[in-house]
Amino acid sequence: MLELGLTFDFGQVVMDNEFALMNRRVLEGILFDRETMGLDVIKEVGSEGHFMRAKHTRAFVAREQSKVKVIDRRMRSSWEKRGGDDLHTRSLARAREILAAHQVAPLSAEAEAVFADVKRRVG
Amino acid sequence: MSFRDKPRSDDEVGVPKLRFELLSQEGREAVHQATLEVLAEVGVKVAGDEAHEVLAQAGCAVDTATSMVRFPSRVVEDAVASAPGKILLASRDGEHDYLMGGRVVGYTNFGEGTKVVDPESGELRDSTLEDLAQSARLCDAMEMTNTYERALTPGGAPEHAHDIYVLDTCMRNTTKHIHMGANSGAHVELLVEMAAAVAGGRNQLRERPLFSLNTCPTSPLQLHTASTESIMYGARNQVPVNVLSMAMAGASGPISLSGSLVTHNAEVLAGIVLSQATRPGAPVMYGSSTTTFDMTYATAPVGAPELAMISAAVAEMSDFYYLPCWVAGG
Repeated sequence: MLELGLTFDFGQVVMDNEFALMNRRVLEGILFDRETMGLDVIKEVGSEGHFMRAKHTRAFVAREQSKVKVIDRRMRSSWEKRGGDDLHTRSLARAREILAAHQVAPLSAEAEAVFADVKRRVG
Repeated sequence: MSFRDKPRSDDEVGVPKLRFELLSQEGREAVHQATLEVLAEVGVKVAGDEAHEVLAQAGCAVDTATSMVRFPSRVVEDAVASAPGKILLASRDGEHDYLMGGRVVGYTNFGEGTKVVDPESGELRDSTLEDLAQSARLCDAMEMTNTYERALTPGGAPEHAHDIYVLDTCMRNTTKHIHMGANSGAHVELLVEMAAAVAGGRNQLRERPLFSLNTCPTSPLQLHTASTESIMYGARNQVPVNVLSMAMAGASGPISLSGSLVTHNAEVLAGIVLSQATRPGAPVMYGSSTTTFDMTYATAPVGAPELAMISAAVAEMSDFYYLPCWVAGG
C-alpha cells in the first residue's frame, strides 16, 4: 500500500511477499546444535578447501539460506545485461503473470444462489 | 479466574526463535494499570441502546444520557480472561487455514485503500470491484499471505450494500480466510448467511469461520454504532472480530507513545468487554494501526518508526493478555 494505505499497488504486493519471506528467515533465528553448526564438515574440509559440494551444504541449504524470487542478487554488470529492470518493474511483471494465469476454485451452485438472493434482498 | 492464569500453549512449531522486547514486564503492568484507571474513571462513549444494555448487564456503569460507559476493573479483567487466546481463521479449501494467536507470527496484506495504480497503464485512479477481485486473486497466489484482508473499498458497489458486494467479490477470488468490515449488525447476519452457504451450513461456519470482521473504535475513547453492532453480532455468530484502534499520537491520542498505548488499550479492551459481555468465549482479536500524527505534514505515516514501536508494544500487551494480535505494517 502507498500513501498511508490509501492506494493499492499490485507490484508492491509481490515485493511485500518477498520482504515477508526474508522477515520469516530472520525470525527463525540461528540454531546452535552440533549438526547445524557442521563440526564434522568443518573438520573434513579443513583449511583451503570449500563447502560448495559438501553433503552438509546440500542438507541444510533449504533451511538455512534465504531465497529471493524478484530481488536480483547479481552484480551490477550482469543485472544490466539482463535489462536492468528495477525491483518494482520486475514485481509488477510477476503480478501480471500471476493475474493472467492464477485460477481460484469457483463457488458451488448452492452458494451462488444464496449470494444472488442476498444481493437481490439488499437491493 | 484472572487473565494472568489463562492457560497457554506456546510450544508449537512456527514460534520465532528471535525475540524482541520493547516493554518490560513493569512497562506492561504500567500500561495495564493506567488503562484500568482510564476505563474506570473516564470511560468510553459507546453508541447504541443494545450495547448499553449488554454492558450494564455485565456490571458497567452506563450513563444513557451521555452514552458514557465506565468499566470496573474486575469486568475488564474477566473479559480478558474469557476471550480465547487462539482463533482459527479458516479457508474455504481447508488448505490455507491459519491458527492465529500465541507467539506464532503470520502475515497478511494491508487494507483498505480507495485508489489503485492500474497494473497495465500505471495510471492512479479510483478502484473498482474488478480491482478488488484482482487484488484477492493476486494475494491468493502469494505464499506469505496467510489470510486475505480486503485491500480496497472500491467504487461500483451500492453504498448501502457495500459489505455484501465485498464478500461476494472476495469469496470468489480467493480460497483464503477473508477479513473485512460490516456496515451494520443486520448486515453481519447477511454476511453469515452467505458464508454459511459456502461452508455448508451455520454449524460448519461456527466451527470454521471463513471470514472475520474488522472494526475500528473512534479515537479517543469512542465506539460508534457500526462498531458495537459488528462486535455484538459477530460474537453471537462466532465470527472473529478484530477491534483495531487507529489512534494518532499527538492528535487523537497523547503525543507520548506510552500515553497513546494507554488510550489505544482502553479502546480495544472496551470492545473486548462488549464482545465477552455479549457471549463469553467469543473470538476477538487485539488490533492496532495506531501510529504517530506528524505535526509538520499533518499525516499519520504508517512507515514511521513510531508505528513499528507501537505495533511491537501492542504485540507484547496482547501476549500479556494472551489474546490474538493483529497489527499494521507499513
